[in-house]
Amino acid sequence: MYARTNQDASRKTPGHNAGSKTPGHNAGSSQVLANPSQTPAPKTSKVSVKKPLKAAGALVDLNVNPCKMCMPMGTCMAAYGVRGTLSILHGSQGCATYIRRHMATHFNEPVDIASSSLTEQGTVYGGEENLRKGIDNLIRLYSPELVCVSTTCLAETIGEDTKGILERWRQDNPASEVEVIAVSAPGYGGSEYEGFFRFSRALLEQIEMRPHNAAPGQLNLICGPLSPADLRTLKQLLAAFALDAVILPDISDNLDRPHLPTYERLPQSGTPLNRIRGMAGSLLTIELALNVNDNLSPAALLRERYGVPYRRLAPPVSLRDMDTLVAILAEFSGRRPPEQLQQQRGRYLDAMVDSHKYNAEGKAAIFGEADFCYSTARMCLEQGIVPVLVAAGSKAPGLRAALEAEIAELAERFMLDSFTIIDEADFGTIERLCAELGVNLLFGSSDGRRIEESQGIPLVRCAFPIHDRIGGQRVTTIGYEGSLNLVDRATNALLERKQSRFRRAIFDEFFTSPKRFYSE
Amino acid sequence: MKNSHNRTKPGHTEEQLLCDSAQAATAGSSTIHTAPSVPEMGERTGAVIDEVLESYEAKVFRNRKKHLLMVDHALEAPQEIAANSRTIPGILSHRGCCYAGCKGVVLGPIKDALIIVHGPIGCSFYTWGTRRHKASSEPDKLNLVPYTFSTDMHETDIVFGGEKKLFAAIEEGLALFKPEAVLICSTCPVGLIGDDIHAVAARAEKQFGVTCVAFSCEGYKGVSQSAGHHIASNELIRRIIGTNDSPMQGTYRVNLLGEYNIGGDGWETERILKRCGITIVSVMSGDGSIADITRAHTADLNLVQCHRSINYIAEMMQTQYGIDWLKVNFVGISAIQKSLRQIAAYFDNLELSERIEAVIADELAEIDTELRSYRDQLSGKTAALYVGGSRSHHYQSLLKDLGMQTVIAGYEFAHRDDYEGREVKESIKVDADNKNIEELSVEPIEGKYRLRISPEKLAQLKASIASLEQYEGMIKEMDNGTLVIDDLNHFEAEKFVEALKPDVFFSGIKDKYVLQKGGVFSRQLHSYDYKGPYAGFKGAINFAQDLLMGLQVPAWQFISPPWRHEPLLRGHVDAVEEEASVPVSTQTQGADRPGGER
Repeated sequence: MYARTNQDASRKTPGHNAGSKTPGHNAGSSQVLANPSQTPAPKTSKVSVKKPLKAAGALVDLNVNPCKMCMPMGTCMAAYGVRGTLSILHGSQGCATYIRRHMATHFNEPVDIASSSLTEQGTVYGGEENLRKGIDNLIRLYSPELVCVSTTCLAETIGEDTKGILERWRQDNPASEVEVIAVSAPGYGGSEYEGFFRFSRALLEQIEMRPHNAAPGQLNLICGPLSPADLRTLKQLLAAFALDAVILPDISDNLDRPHLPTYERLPQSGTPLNRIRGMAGSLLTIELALNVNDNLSPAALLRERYGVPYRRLAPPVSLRDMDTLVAILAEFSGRRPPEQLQQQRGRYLDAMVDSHKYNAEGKAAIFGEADFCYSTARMCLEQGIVPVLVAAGSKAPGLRAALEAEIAELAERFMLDSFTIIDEADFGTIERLCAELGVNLLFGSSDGRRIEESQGIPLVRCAFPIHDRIGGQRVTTIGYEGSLNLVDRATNALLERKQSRFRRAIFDEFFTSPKRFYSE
Repeated sequence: MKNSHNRTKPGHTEEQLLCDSAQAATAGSSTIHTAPSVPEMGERTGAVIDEVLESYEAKVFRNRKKHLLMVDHALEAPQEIAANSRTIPGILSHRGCCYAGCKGVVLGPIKDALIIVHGPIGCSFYTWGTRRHKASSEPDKLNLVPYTFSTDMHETDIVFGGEKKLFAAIEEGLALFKPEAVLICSTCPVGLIGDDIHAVAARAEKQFGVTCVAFSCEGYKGVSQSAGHHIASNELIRRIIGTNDSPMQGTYRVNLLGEYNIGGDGWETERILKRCGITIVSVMSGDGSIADITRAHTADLNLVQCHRSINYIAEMMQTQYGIDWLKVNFVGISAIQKSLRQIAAYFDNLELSERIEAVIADELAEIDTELRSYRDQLSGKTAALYVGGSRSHHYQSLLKDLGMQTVIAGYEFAHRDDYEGREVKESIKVDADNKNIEELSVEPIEGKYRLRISPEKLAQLKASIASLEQYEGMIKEMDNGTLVIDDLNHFEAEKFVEALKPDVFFSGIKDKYVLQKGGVFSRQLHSYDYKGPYAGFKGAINFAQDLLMGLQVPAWQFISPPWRHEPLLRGHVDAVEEEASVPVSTQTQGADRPGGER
């Protein structure tokens, strides 16, 4: 049934653009076809991920509805995970305003990001004066422990020597106890994902590290853009193994603050700087991110400079990836996983069996940053939901190789003949592919809502930014319980879709065409 | 009017709520201030200003002091406020950039234009569906409001230039969407690397035969969004308005300028205007289209809602085409009546006048009961307003209609004329930041310039219609002792709220959560918290309802602001330690919540 439906959908492709206003836009995409008659040997795709030539009919210069944001977004978000930190963006004030606006709607929290508010004059003669004034004002009004100066397109394009400016600021303020770091984050140099890691790495590079600060048996945990609720889950997990871990960054409280009698202007939670200094003396670093290369990875830096070994793991959004993390923590701590954790695992497995009959009908599209795509796809795969479209919004060179064989294998079991893994995708492309591939379930940010509306496909909102629903800060996707929560939402989305339609479908099939019913 | 008999409904003619007499509305709008020159509240306000400013370093102190004032109408000289000047770096201003004003505000709502953001991805992403300018989709007509387009410049494009990419993007966009026009907005790096977007636009226009207009609205230009409004207005005047001479059929043809249809405001306004028999030629730019804007010059009168963002167009269209303009306000029940009556006075037609009166009576009758009930419950509450460049003024009328008082009002990016009135325009000094924003000099266009009324008649009307080619500004309508703040920042907002304790703070998403964490009820007046419309008669009821609901939310019973938490007396009773440790505030929480008795 499925295979046929899917073939029908793909046959419709040529007519899809005719007369419709839907963008038929093809970024770096290439479709992988899994022929059911062949053995599902791991496929090493020879299709280049490079953008196809314009002559082939693809449109490559216009991004229609972007599926990615810019670097300073990531640096600002990560900076919220260090205690007493405030960000100042060196550039036009619009950058700070836009980023604050997006973070505030998602997290439903105050988001304070300052700007050096460069004007045309600063652009021509350099922005040193503005930036230094900005840092001084910020310190005077907020008394932060750390100021993160993030560059923007503007500062980078005029070739601003931000590090030099900060050195001169330090010379003039030798007594100041405030740490000030510079993060290079041109909007054209990468997405919010890269920005997120650039902050963590720059922090480790620029503050004075003190290996002796480390507690005995200390562990480092480097995180990507997870939700505050996810961070709280991780902290519980570490506590379950009685581990003393330093998390960088830890946004668990600062971007999901309780309502307290007194409002503190400066975020009071997050990892303290003295603990971050001690990361150089930890025994091991675990980095929960896959799409980072050694030039971007904070873990790689800690190994390079301080000899701290590291393990790079996928964000634990599936039984298998969570198992891996648990095994490593058990080994590192020398403790057996606590009973409670084993029960959580058991419940997740139980749910997997309970929901299989619904999930097996799922054909999902997963879009967003590469790690999110990867880990959500892994979860779908073990639940029997075929991720027929995995679309990373920015560059993700390893994504295809990491998922291709596994998706092909499941697709073959369920007799599906096509799926697609792409990077540098925009929503124009994603929307078109959703229709072509017969997608019936979406995972990602609320930016998928237009596909949800136009194609009637339910969207499981589980990635930043979520603008049109409440609770973005509390979305949990990691660990056995988080995965269970995510898969329940997905299963229910499939059920809701089915139950809202099946009466109509049955009626149409059996009662509105009497010819078929009686004449046969 | 079918429903005009409603006017004679018993019990509603005599004490018709807020229904100004026609004469009062047109006779001049300067409010009579009977309050003492510096009332008790004023003394407090003055002290608070000093206290807040003390936290600043000397230079910042001097700068910010000029942006704050306490209204005092007893002074001989009109009060002056500094505005539209450089933002102080690092103090968390809420202002946006030039690009935001151009692409986000003025151009964004135009639904049949393909707006390509030339630059790295972020700027395009952040203006995608984030401002609630609603647009209707009609069959066979293009609605690109749900889209955003970018050339997604990468490092190589910054190094080698992005002109080729931009040209190709235009070609692709035209093939995909067949828009009425292509509008190209540049972002910071584009201006710096020297991509000539105007040349690319000209080349594309020649090659593809579709109007292509470039807007050099790099983020760093000017000091806020305001620069972007000006740049957008200039190009609309230069390239779009006046390019289609076929007039729209209908009576009393107007353009609605500076109405962006946030939450459907424009639709409610249009509904009322159409009921009155007024024809709308074009809207700039909420739910607007290039197709309509090209023939805006065939209208009889321009109505200006948001003075700040679009007064440029009104002024230039008067010079080029001879169309007069009227500053209107469709937010607030008395304000709408005043605006409608001024329109009637301009057209000087008895039939129109009668029809407008009938519509007003009918609309008022419809909301009368609800309005009374909301007014009863909201009366006496105080409000702070901090919005863009016009709303802080517009909403004061509506709040007054509901019996509420504004204690703080400020603009994010307004100019002095928005505060003090257009009469100060000539005296505004042009500084280094503003002189680079082109001041278009326009002249009457031969064959298209047509005076709608004679100069003598205009002079006569100006004497009786206060808002004809005039804007009085916000300060004149504010009470003595209230506070006016330009370019308010997080720090000041917190301090002033603490001191003046408004029941509700109307602002944006960036300060909403700071206020709420402090236990202060806040509503977004940029996006209306995903509600609306608030304009028009029915909108006023929506607004009152949302306001009352917000104040009555049970959550406030459990939260009280920190300054209400602190006990007046601190003591310690040794014998009953456990009881003494109960927070004092729990006893008074019910009464302290924003919706409770004060």
